[in-house]
Amino acid sequence: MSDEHVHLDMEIQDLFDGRLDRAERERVEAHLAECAACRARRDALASVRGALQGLPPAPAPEELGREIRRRLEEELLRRRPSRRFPVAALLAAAAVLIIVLMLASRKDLPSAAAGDFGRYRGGTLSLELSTSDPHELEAFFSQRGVGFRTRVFDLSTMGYRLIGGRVHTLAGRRTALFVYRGEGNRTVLCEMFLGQTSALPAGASRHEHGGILFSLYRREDSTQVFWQEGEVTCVLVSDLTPDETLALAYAKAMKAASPSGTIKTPRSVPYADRRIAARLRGPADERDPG
Amino acid sequence: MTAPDAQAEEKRRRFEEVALPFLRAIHTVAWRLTHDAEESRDLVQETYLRAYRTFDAFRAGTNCKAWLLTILYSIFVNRYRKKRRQPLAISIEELEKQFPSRLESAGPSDRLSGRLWSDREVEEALAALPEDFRAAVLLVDIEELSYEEAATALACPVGTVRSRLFRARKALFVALQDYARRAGYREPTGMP
Repeated sequence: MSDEHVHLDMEIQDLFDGRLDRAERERVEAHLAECAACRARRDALASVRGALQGLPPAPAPEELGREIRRRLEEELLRRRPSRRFPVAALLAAAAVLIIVLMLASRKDLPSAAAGDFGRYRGGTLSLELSTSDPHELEAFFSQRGVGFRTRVFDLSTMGYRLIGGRVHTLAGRRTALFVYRGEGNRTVLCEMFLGQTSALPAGASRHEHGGILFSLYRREDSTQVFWQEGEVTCVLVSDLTPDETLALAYAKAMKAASPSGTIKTPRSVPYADRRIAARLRGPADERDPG
Repeated sequence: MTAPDAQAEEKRRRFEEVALPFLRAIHTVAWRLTHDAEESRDLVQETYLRAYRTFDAFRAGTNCKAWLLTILYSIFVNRYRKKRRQPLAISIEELEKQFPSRLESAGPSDRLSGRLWSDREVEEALAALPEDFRAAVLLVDIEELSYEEAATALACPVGTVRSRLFRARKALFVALQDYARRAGYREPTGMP
């Protein structure tokens, strides 16, 4: 771009979208008062917005609203407990009780995950394979027969390097465990296992992102974030702040849900993650990738 | 057994009350992303079902439309985008490059205000944008989401929303100027 006003390009848009503080606004407005070319830029943005806002909404098919209501109704019926078979309900309650007792007899999942994290930091939990190559680790898990397909993600663009992993056991479940390390020895531990997040204890703070539910716990000075990926439950544990841990979980979950499973495109990286990654790597990365 | 029923019923009632008013907007965005009647209908239904299942996590008082659009875009990206081989979108760089010269030839700013293009032409120009860029203007210029809400919906940094918007708007301006020219508008000196 060879235009001499290129340095004011984006700021004109910032002004137009009301994103400047008072001092900046006054500076850009003063520039506009002097500069016809920049006023034309602003007016160009306005003409585009005018054209877009003038568009009528697409005509929605009439039955769409009805269809959605019907599916919500179905959803409601599907989840409604049976009234016709109190015996079945009783049996279900008994089964739940047994499961609850079984679960109560072992450590709950968040505490168990926090325990693994503590042991890894304390040097008493060792990795069976040291590698920074996600595919090598996936192959290792598959070879060791963890019983499900693992997807180990490269979080290097977020400032976290893969260290390695092991096949492990978490509260009686066979898990694929792997560890990342960031600057300043920050550690992130991830475990995946066959299961449902419904087995998690109460008391989680719940977060939703992109249609996925995340359950966050604080145990033993670390944060544990659980979510579901198909038949596999994932947990990410770290001693970063809960927000940072959550952001990494978002990144990993969205990556798993995305077709390519990569994290290279900035589109698929949640904002908070980029901020964290940028902070971990220094100011040079704050640059806008889009 | 009536208590949970009543509760679930109440939840559904509340969900319909809060979320269904945005059906038209959600469907319009779905349509402009997919340009396929069946896909946009499926996308909208899937969005509402998933929203209903996670409705407990929705915080009352926050922007429900932005929340629905976040779910919609995530489904779109994961399911629909990969299977569609969209015809190669225009090169946004090419259009951007023409922005300064078009700006000059467009002349005084009062000339930009007239409607020199039809809705169909605007839709066409919009449809020709690469999806990432199109999504940014759909959410911010048409659905009036904040940059922050759009960033959440598109799962990208706010700075990326800002730059995609800027580039998309410049490209749209160039495309619209082409339509305006074809409609008979020539050079600034020719205007009264």
